[in-house]
Parts: sequence; structure tokens; C-alpha cells
Amino acid sequence: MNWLCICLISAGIAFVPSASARADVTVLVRGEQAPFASQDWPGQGLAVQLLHAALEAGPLPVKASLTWENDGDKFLSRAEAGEADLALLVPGVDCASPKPSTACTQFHYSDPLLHVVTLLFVPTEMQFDYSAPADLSGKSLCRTVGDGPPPLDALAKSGKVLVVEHAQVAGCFDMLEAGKVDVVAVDEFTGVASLFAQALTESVTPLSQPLATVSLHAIASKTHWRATAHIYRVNAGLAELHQSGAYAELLNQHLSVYWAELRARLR
Amino acid sequence: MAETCDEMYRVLPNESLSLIAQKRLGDGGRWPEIQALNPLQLGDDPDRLLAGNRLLLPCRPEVDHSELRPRLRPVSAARPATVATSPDIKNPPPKSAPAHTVKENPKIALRIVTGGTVPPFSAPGLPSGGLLPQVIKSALSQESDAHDISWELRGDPLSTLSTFRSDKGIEMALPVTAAACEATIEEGPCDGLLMSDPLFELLLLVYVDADHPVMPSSADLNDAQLCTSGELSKGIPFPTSALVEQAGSLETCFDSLNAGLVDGVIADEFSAERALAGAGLRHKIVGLRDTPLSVTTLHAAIRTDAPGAHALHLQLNAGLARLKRDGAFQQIVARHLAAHWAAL
Repeated sequence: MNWLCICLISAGIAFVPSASARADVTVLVRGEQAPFASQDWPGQGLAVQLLHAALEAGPLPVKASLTWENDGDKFLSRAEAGEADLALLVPGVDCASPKPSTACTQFHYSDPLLHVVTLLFVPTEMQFDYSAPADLSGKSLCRTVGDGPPPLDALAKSGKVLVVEHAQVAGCFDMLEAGKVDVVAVDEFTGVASLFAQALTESVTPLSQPLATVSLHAIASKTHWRATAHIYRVNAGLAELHQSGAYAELLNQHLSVYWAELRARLR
Repeated sequence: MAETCDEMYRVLPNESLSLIAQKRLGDGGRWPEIQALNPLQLGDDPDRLLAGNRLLLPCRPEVDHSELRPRLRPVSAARPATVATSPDIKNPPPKSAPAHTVKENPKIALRIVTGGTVPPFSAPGLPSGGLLPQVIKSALSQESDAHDISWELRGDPLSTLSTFRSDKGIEMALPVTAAACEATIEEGPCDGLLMSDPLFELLLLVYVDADHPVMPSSADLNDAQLCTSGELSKGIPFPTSALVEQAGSLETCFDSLNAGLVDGVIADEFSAERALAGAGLRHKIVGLRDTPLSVTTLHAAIRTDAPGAHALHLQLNAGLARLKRDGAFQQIVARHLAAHWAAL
């Protein structure tokens, strides 16, 4: 992975060690979510870097040590059991709705670490006028396992859209190429990275109108003895990062890394 | 062997814990004992040492291994009478052994006072008396099974501290908030007490009307009229110029807030959520979570003048560390918190 190190140095990012001898907070991270959280990504991903920075920028600075879990189901059960102080990274849920997700009874959610848009990817030659989720009626769509977003969940439940799930986004794009589904729904970063990785940039195109905006959060089990205090640490640190401009700086650095990696894959 | 105990030491510039241990105890390797005795100043980080800090030092010269076992008096007829309110109704502690059996199997009498009704932390009627009593019992039993614990319930957590200090028959009190100790350090409600490692960490918040046109922060409440009651928030620093009314209960405070009679309510998040749920006000009144008055920890306090206090302190913290290491601590906490949240 030498090329990753080159990208990393060129971007000038100060990377935080994955484990610290003086760790104050343990964090369970769902891996294989590049560019947000991945052991194979520079700095282990943007969200991981933001969490490290937030925990150290708040009024009660603490250091974090990471444990990785790539299996989504195991990740949630381990997070709920309070195996770690915090867990990263999950999509936001609407806990103020009349019928909130069961996750609202299990976890405290941090303020959003990131907002990402979910885009619809279609074959380039396909004529598809999309302006609202209702336009997906009658289509077949692939998404990665467990990834909403809520508008798509609602359409899937209504039966108006045939939703197929795949463990990896590359599998969804393979199905699109094979004509087995009409659309792939995935966040823009993961989707574009996958297009480059699979050499599909000519044959597949993202639609300009996003399907949804998704917030990504850290969570703490409601049965953990330091849950609300740690969520406060994250939130206060994030606020400080936004105010100081460090958040934007970190974001820009990671975007540089992201595009550098895509260019490297093209070569 | 002669010992010097309870010595206080003022930290000088550029000193480290190991240097202090070498200077005052004759063994630089004993710095973890100093750290364990001063959780409020040092927490988990020995590098948090500041010049001017006053640290309690362990007995010197070094105690031998047998000293790690508490030297509390054995159960005997001389023990002060207690009105034992066992928090564990289903499993009351064993009756005191008669004095003549002490030599065979000496049980160590330990009186612990719990302050107030503060679920899920401690309250009559909760399983095992609440989260904290169960943690304390489990932690002590990790190191030895020699305690005969009697539990007493008194007032609120802060008044418990004052009665605790004046009643030499009681060895331990809980819960004690670090915020209350730090706020009134000059008056010294916690001065000279040995604090356990943290048992829980929580937020002390200001609660306001969610329909307030502009959501204030805690800093905006300097001239506000606030209400609180004798829960875990008692004794913490309030906004200096705020007018703070002490009510009989949090429910009364929230009724006043709902009626527009006060601007805010000060409470710990657990007591507040419970009171709000009971009053059906959870969506009408919200805590200012972005600007807590304090992020504080709960501890058990041990009298330094109790026989074997330092050994008991070490034993408690060693047991807590073991519970945290093997996951049993989280299991105990999870059981109590799951029941707490489910009830809301």
C-alpha cells in the first residue's frame, strides 16, 4: 500500500495512531466504509479522523483507541452491548417521529459528523428523468445491505420499487452492468470510487438529483455508564472544530486524498 | 512497624508522581498508590499533575501484603447499633455473627450510607438497592468475601456527606458527585475523604421550555430564576447571579417551569428524565445538552479516619478495575440502565 502513504504525505494530514497507550475512550468502528471508515484508507477514513479530532478538541479532551468490526450485524449487537464507549459510523434516524426506530431506544446519537448525499447511478445510455422518489416506481434498484435511506425504505415497503440488496457496492454495479437492476443507490463518495475501481466511468452515470441526504453519526449504547458524557464530548468537540475551521480543513485534506486515490486507480 | 499516614503534600513545579513517591515514600514505584488516592486531582492520568495540587499520600513506610486486607473492626457487640435498611430486599445481608465466632471466621463490619432516592443509582425498591450498591458489593467481593455490609438510607446525597462526616461509625457513603466536592472545596465537604474511582459519569443540565422562542444556553441564565431539588445536582455551582429556588422535588420544579414561574430547572439527566416522564412533559421541556452545567462523576467516599480506610480504598478500586476489565461492570450497569430506560 505504498501509494496510499504517498497520497497521505502529499495531503499533509497528521494521522492519529490507531491505538494509544493512554486511551481514555474505546471506539468500535464499522470498517469497509471507505472513504469514511476503513483500515485500508489513509488515516483510517475521514469519519475516524473527525472523531479523533473532536474528542481531543472538546472541553474534556480524551484519546480514543479503535476496535474494528466489518460485519454490520455484529457491529450493531456489539455496540448495543456496550463493548466500547462509542461506536462509529451509523446513518441518522428520526427519533422525534411518532414511530421512531428501535435504534432510538438503544442508542444515544451524536450530532452529525458528516452529511452525504445518496445518488442514483444508472447506465449512461439510459434515459431516466428523475426528480422525486416516486419516479422510481416500477424500477428495480440495488443498494448495499442495511443502507437506507428512509425515502427508499418507504418505497421498498410499499412494494412500488423492487429493492435488491448486495453485501458490497461493487456487486450492485455488476448487477447494473448485467441489466439485472435499473438503478444503484449509494452515497456519492462510495459510488464514484466504485465506478473508478470497476472501470465503469464511461458506462455508468450518477443522476444530478440526489435521492436523499444522509447524516452519519457516532453512537453510544444507552446502557453504558459514560454514554451521555461521551456523546457530549463528541458534540462539543465537533462544535469547536466547526468554529475553528479545523473541520473544513480536515474535510478538504481528505477530499484531496480521495481524488488522489481515484486518479491513482485510473493510472 | 511505625507508619505515617494521611500526610498531605503540595506539588512543586516540575515534580512527577514517581519523584514525589521517591521523596516522600522512599520508593518511586509507589506512584500508582498516590494516583489511586487522589482521583479528583489526577483521574486516570498521572500526567495531569499540577504545581500547587495538594495530594494525599499513602502510609509510609510501605505496608506489607497483609495490610492490603482492611483492618476494619470485626463484627462484635461493641459495634454501634445500626438501623440497617438493606437495599437488597430479596437478599438481605447475613446477620451479624456473634462475638465468640469472630476468631474462627472474622467478618468485617462495613456500614455504608446511601443518600436519597436517586434511581437508577440507589433507591429503596430497586434490584440490589440500585446500580451503585450492586457495583460496590461486587467490587468488594472481587478481592475478599470478608465483609458484612449494612446499608442505611439518609436524606439527599449532599446532606448524607455531612452526616457521614460526623458519624464515625460509618465507613463509606455514596453517591458523592465530584462536582459537589469541587464546588465547595473551601468548605471541604469532601476534604480528607478517599474517593473511589468513578462509578458513573453523567451530565448536570439546565432544563428549559422547548417552545421558548430562542433556545438559551446555560451561560444565558445568569440572571434567570431557576429551580432545583435535593437530587444529585445539589451542591454544584449555579450561575452566579441566578436566583435558585430549592424545591421539595423535581416534579415541583418542572410544574413551575411549565407554568412559566421559573426560567429553568437544574437537574441531573437521569432524575430529570424520570420526573419529566412521570409528568408527561418530555416533549415540552428539554435539557440544554450542548451546554451542561457540569460533566461529573459519581463516587463512593471512604472516611480517612476509619480503621483500615486506605486498605479498603485500594481494595475497592482494585475490585472495580477487575470488574471493568472482565466486563462484569458493564453487565451490572446495563441491567440497571435497561430497566431505567424501559420504565420511561
